Amino acid sequence: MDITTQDSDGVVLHRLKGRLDNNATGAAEGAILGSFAARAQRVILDMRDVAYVSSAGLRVVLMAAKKAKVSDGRLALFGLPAAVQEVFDISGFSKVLAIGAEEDDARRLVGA
Amino acid sequence: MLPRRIESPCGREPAAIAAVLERIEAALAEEGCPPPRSAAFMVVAEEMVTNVARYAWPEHAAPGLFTVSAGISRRLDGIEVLLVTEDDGVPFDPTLRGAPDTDAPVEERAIGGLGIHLVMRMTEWQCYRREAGRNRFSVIWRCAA
Repeated sequence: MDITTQDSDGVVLHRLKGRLDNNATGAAEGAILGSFAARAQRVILDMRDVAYVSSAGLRVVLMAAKKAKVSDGRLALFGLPAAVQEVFDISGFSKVLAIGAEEDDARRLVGA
Repeated sequence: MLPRRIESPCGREPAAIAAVLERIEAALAEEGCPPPRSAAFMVVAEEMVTNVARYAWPEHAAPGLFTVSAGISRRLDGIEVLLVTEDDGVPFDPTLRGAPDTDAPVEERAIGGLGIHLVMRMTEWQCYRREAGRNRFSVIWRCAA
């Protein structure tokens, strides 16, 4: 998994590429959870190039959502491919996370 | 046409797991399964294989070896895969695991416990047997043509 991170206008944007699976979660966990080190951070995950997310990847996303809640931050995702959307729907994540179609939607969801 | 069959011994270490998953994925691609659909199947395969590797034996027990087999059939209406894991670890019936509360808010969601739920929901058929001291968990997954 490749992760490119941009930090501008008060929003940390992680562009994820590849598989958010058992092998990738160590690096993803460090990068994504690390962005909530300060309080009230606004974080966006660009999922357009994520081929699949397994339960190991869901775990990282859930931990990030929990960190956002306790630190008064915001987390939004956008651009989920069909295979990723299916996994998010089955796990119930689609109902409880802020998910947009495009980057602009995600920016609105984090209040940017 | 006879199904294409892959059977592989697998160790608990990540490299062994990755190698088995790669073999299955390559076979699916050769049988004409489009990448977005095979991605869904690979979620199922990863969950099944990593569950055995992680939980079938106590943490400091002698390294466990298990087998993973996949029978891939091309049918008129698409592709069907019978995926089976077999191990001699502690008895564990994945079909009896309760579903996690997928309606719970983020604060109350448990971290983990989703892997088996994904397998059960993303496959057409599931069967667990404990025979001669071995767990045998089989699922059928289908991809429409």
